[in-house]
Amino acid sequence: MTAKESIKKINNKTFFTFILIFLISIIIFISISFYEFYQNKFEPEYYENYTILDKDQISDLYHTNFRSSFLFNFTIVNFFKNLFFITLLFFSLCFSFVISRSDLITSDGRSIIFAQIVSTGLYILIFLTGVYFVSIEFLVPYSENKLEWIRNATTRSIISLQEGNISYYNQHYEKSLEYYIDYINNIEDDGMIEGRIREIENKISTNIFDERKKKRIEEINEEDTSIADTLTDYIKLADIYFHKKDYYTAWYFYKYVAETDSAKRKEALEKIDMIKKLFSYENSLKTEDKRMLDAELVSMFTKKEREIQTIYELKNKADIHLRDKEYHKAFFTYKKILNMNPNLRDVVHSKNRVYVNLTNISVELSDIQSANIYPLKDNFVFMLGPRKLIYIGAIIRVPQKYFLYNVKIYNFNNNYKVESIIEAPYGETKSHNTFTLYAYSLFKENIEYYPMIKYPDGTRKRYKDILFELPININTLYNFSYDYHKTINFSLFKLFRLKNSTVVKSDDNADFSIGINNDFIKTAIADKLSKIFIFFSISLIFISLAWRMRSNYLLHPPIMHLILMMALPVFFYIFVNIIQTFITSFYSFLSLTTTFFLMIVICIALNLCIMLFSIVYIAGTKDS
Amino acid sequence: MKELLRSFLKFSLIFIILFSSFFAFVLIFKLFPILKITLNSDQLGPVIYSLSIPVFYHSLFNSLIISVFVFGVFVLNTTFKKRFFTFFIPVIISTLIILLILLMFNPTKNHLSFNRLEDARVFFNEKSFFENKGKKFYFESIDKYMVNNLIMVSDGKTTFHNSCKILFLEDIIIVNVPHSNGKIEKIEFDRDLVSNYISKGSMFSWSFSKSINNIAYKFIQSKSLGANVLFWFSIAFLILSFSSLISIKNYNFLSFIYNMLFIMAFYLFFIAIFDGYHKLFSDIFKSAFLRDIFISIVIIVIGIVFQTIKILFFRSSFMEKE
Repeated sequence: MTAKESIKKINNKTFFTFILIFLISIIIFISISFYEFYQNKFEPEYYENYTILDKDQISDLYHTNFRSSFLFNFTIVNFFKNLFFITLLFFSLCFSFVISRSDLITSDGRSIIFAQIVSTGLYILIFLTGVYFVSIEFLVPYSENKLEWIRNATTRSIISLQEGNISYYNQHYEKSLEYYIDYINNIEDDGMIEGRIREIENKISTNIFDERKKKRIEEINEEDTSIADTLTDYIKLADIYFHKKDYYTAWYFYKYVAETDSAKRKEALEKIDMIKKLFSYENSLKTEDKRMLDAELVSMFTKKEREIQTIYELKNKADIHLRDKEYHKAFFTYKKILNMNPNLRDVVHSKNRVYVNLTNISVELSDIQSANIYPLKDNFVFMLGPRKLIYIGAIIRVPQKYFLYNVKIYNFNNNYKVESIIEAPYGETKSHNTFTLYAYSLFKENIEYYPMIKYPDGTRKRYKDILFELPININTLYNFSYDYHKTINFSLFKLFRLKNSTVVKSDDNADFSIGINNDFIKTAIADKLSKIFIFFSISLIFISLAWRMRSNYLLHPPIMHLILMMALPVFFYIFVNIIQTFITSFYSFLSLTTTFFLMIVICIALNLCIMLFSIVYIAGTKDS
Repeated sequence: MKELLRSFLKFSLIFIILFSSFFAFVLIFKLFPILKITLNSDQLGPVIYSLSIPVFYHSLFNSLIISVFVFGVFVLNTTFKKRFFTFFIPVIISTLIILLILLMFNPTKNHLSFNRLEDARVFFNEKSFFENKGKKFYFESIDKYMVNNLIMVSDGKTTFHNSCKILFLEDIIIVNVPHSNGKIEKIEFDRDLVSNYISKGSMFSWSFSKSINNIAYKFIQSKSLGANVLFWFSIAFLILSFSSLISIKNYNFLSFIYNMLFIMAFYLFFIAIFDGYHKLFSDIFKSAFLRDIFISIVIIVIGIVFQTIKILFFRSSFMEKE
């Protein structure tokens, strides 16, 4: 073979060894994932005579529906966490075993230099370094979050399924329906439970079903879409309802026009008279047993007028509540009106608007109370302000938001004496940086929880604010831990942001620390940067070492050589792990003694030196 | 004779270099946390002096272990004349050094302990939350023997405290937290600082860190001087036997790697095996002296087994380079 052909052969060998090693690794990790899944899978049970699992038993199980997602993410996490070792294994195998002396023999007498031999390997190393960076920054954190989500979703679904089954077999169909619907929301696909849901919906009485359906409608009233949304002219609205023969609603709007629009008052009053005449006419057409007497008719008209008057009074009351931002009271006032006449379009609009306002500033009790049986993270504590500490008993993450339980905000003075405590049993995040401590019931008028402020002398009163600001993003807080090894799992981008936000400016321009250990964050940043450099530098040295150790045999290297070679990647892997402790300690000391900028400069300078050494080392490798 | 003298000088040189390096490195490593507190030159002197004693002992034992190992890999494996005597040079010299040190100074656990520094500012960070045994703490301002303002979150209750006195014990720090009802709650904290940064999930880092800190204690554990010296002798014999065993034909560097793996495994598992042995055999050997002697004998026997393997393979010229 000519030199060119030999180089091509070496490059192909390198490339195929790379593909082979990584494919085998992926297959091994997929097998491990399968094993892990099948050891911890949860097969849904639908019958009453199965073992009920308690919370401790179900915290690390995976529902069978999540199999493919679990296998994918588990493989990703383990593969990329072991990427360094696999890389060392690849270089060790490739440059000391696969590429042998016979590959260097050329027919045209030209020698192959070391750089040519390892060129493909170097390209692969650069590629792998990029992959390593992407994996520690994005892939591994994402997959770990996904796995945690799968665990949480499985736990939620197990609880829902068990509770649903118990209720089902005890014939508490309404309750079981709620649990089964919750189960399906988590799992999305279960023929058996979907069938049971249909069965229960048919089984339970229409009244109860309608009641539940009505409860869902309570949230947003359906509006009559035949009427244009933009129509606000009351006289036109009244005319429309008049033509639709909804005389009561028309009467209500005409009355409004009569009271408020002097120009159209006469027309409106005439229309009201017409409505009364129409009622009288319709009454006259009824059979004798159903016909009302004149006196009864008059009484009905008076009653109707009184009702309309009541509606107006309630409407005014609701407007006052709205003005005072008492949306809960306004909401129920509108509800009362709509109970009298559900077609009052303007009231429907107002109620829906109030509902939206409520949703923006509060948490609905049935949502949050039903979520508290699910897995949660507990005992969050951090500084909300310079002399303000917040304690959150538990946080549950649901799609798009977080529910907070047992929230206490302590205001204390410089002598650490508590001046007041703001308490609320429930809260919800309204954005990444804001949360509310006001909770209300959509179904019960007098149930609402405002944050209460308590003083050392025992007095308690309602606190003036319901919306509060978080010093940092709730996602960060939820995932954060006070342990170093969890801090280091954050991406570099998040760590940089966290470093900048651990000291926050409060409303009165004072600086305060939210209580996160800034040394951990700074050390983690330097540590993570080092890991990338070390990955590259050690691999570079390793290529050279593997080449120096390459087989001297012409044709078939002995298996003994392969077995002995395995010691190299194992040793380097353990060695780097051990050295990492000293490196981390070194950075932690730097973080205490120098500024962050200087620390990063020293970190990068040191790593560049190591990289330079590795480049010089590999450059000094002899060809043969 | 000349070869023996040469070997003696080589070992001495290896030991001096390693000991100085260990001493400097460990001293600086242990000095770093003290940088958290600003000290003037008057205060720094006594601190360095108090650190020097444990650093000396830890450096001595660790550098002797590594010196014996290095001698075995780089000197003994390349020595073919008077090999038997050359083999015992590092064992005897190191044993004599240990005997001298134990006889003259009779070090106890206290002498080896780094926990002589008593200053809370070194062990705790101000203005950040941390967890300890299920409770969360926040220290606002820390003095040498006092935490001035403290927040404790425990079982869902958050309490605020002032003037919490600190007590330093051998392995732990006790913070006395006064409650409003007059009671004082004593809370224990670990004195090991580095453990804050090590993930318990990383077995190698965790085990290695523990080993490096504790291995020296094992050589002064017995109450009997003779047992301690014999124990050291057996360990030196074992290390030297193993490091001169692995010498694979044509693969010098690989042999070195295998030797490195051995010394790593030694550091990673020695403490666990040692403690495990004492736990298991404490019922069988009522006398602590007999127990200490027995383990030394077992280790010497293992070393002899290694030597036997070496002789057998040497004869079949499988492992030894000619």
